[in-house]
Amino acid sequence: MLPATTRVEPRLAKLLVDRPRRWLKDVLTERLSSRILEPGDRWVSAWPDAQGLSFQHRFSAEELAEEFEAAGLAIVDRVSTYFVLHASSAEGGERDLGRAPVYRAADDVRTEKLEDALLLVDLGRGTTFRLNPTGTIIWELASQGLTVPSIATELALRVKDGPAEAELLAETRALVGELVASRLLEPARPGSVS
Amino acid sequence: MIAGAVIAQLAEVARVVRALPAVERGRRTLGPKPLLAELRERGKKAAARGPEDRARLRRAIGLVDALCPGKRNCYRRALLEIALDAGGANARFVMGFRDGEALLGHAWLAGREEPQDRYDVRIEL
Repeated sequence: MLPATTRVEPRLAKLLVDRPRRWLKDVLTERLSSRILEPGDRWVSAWPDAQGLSFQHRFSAEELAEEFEAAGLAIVDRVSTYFVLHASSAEGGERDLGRAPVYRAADDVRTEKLEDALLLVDLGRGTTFRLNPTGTIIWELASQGLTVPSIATELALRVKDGPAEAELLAETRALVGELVASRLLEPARPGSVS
Repeated sequence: MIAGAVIAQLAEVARVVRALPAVERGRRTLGPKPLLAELRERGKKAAARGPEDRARLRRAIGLVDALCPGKRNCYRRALLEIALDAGGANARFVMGFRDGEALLGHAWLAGREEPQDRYDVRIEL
């Protein structure tokens, strides 16, 4: 049983409950629509419901963390509230709920090989991008549906005597972010990219 | 005879000037794919021109392009020709890119103004 703690003032309750609740609602909506979460996941029904929220009224963050860990749920991040990485699926077994997003090339993007580079032309928006050889590998792997960490791992194997994997991960993250911001890559459903 | 040719040329310049705002607005706000679709719709409603009329149109476009602020612009010229000539609307639009220290690009209508320079990449729409 969880021990009860002191009562929470209304302002603090708003901070602890209302804002995380709105945030969770947004995250769940987005994750359900992209099928990262699916109806039936235990996490969906267990955490943002009234009982879960009442925990925040009655117990401290540390106590909640202990309780979640005792239930076998791994907490990977804390942004106003908790984010759960793994939960048992309705069918049993573990599903990775916090997996990194995957991408695909936007529809109107044409790619053309240059001698030592790759040219990306967005025919819908009229922008061009020239990628160097490393950027070309990142583009090819990203548009095949690999996650950023997987791309960095693959890059580390392909680039002999290159930077450390942590550096490659940062570079990959930066370039993929730039390509997404330029709408050359767009988020895809996991498993939908061939 | 000469007066007639001058009047025809001036009329062509006036047509180009009328089409210019829509082309410039599109050039600045849309990518080539949606812009070409829009201008081809417009161009298909224009008269199909013979060689002489087409040459007159191209002279008018060249003049207006030269008078626009900034450098002459091949993309603008090709778009104006698509918007004002049914033949231009049906022609393939080509973008050529040449790689170097900087990426150089050129745009033209296939079969009408084939460039002398070679390009590493050609994209036809």
